[in-house]
Amino acid sequence: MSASPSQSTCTQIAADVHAGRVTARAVAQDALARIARLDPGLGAFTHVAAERALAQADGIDARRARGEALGPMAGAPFAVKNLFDVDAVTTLAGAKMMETQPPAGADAFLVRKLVAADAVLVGALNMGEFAYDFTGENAHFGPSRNPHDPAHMTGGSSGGSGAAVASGMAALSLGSDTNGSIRVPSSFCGLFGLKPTYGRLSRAGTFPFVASLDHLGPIARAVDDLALAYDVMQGADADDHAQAARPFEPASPALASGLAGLRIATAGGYFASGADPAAYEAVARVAKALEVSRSVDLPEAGRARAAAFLITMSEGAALHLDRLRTNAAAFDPDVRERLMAGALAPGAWATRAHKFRRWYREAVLRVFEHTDVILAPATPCRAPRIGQKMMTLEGKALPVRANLGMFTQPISFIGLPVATVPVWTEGETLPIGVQIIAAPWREDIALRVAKALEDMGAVRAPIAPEPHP
Amino acid sequence: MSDHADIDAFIDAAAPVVGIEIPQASRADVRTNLEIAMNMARLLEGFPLDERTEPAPVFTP
Repeated sequence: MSASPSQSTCTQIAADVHAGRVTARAVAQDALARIARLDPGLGAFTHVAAERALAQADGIDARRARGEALGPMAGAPFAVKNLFDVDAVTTLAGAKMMETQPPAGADAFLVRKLVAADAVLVGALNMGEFAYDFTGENAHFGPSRNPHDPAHMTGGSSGGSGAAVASGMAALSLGSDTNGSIRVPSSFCGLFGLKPTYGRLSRAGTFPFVASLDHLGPIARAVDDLALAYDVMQGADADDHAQAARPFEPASPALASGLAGLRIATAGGYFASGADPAAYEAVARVAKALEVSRSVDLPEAGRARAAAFLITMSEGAALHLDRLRTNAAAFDPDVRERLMAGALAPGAWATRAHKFRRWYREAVLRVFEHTDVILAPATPCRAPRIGQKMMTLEGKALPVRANLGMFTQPISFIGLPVATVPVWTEGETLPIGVQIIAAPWREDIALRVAKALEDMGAVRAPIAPEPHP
Repeated sequence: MSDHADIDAFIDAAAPVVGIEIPQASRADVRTNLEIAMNMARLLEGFPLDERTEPAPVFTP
């Protein structure tokens, strides 16, 4: 057991609570103390659920004292992006204008699943406004800061979800990912993230962004924890009409079965140019560890990104049209201008994008006939500085906001499952992530490869050192 | 007419129809974002798709 009980992984905390080496209350108190100490410098939390966490922890300890069975995540402290409903808390979705809304009447489906497994909710997390963001900045609530260097971005839009886990304020967080919002913060904050297949996990009880592309998933410091949370959160939910009819397909049982039989390749073409060398070095390191030398092409990935962009702006604007008409001044300016443009975009653009989506899906599925896993950069660079507007990639000056998702968008566009793994280079203070992409419904394969890399020591997600006062 | 001027004219015509007001301070960024979208749309339109290709989302009643 770690000297600071909340600093372990979820599986270790649960084992310690099950065995009576620590109480759930002690873990919750430790996590809450850490939040109180570190969060003022990191801006990860918009709501700390101290009372609820301690009451839930006491309930777990009481059940153990009575000899009752505990759930597989007993005592593990987790927090959720503030677009997830949390009972009796107003769901902000990163927007100041939402503060006047009534509190949620119940937890979101995935929160209920984690709580049923005895994970302990410690709070709700900062995010880019309405999830239309890759930076983790927020004009109203301030930026979430990268625990590995607070002058740098967490990435977004699940910025608080990255900061909370990388700083050890939570062992696990939940985020949403429409175009990269789990994978970008996982890359910048040096964490493992899972964006499951589109339609796998219920989105009920969360504030939407782009119904055609929205996914939810976990971020953690260990692959075991990602797999455990993913397994626990599966389950049919009639409240999400886009949820696919899939059986329970757990990833944990075969997680440690290694790489045998897997055909792995790196993504060439679109994914092999236009980025900082750090992005390619990270992919090369992972490929070397996996003894991969083959590369495959995802045809027309650049157009896939364009199509994701058009669907996002069009559906996002439709969602917020009333607010744009009546309360435009209350938006984060960086979000408002994009939504306004989306509100004016001709409908034929988005329809064309949806038609292309069908073509691209079929083309990429053909690649998976001879390949099980595709490796690609998660982000084109390490975390930019907070407030940075432009970056230079291969000699070209590009806007930061519009380009952090260049490698994630063509993948989520057709809902492929992705595990993001963190790569550290000697001498660098900031990590960078690699996407491990599998065929639809094969989260188990993506997580298996992530686990093998973690076991080899090729990827890791340490808690950031605390700043010295 | 240049793309730039076309987009300005488009914003002037379309914003009232859609029912939104574009403040002067937002104008340049809205134009830039529409311009990016227009280029994205042109990129997509440059790819031949069969007329019978169905859009991806399928509603299951």
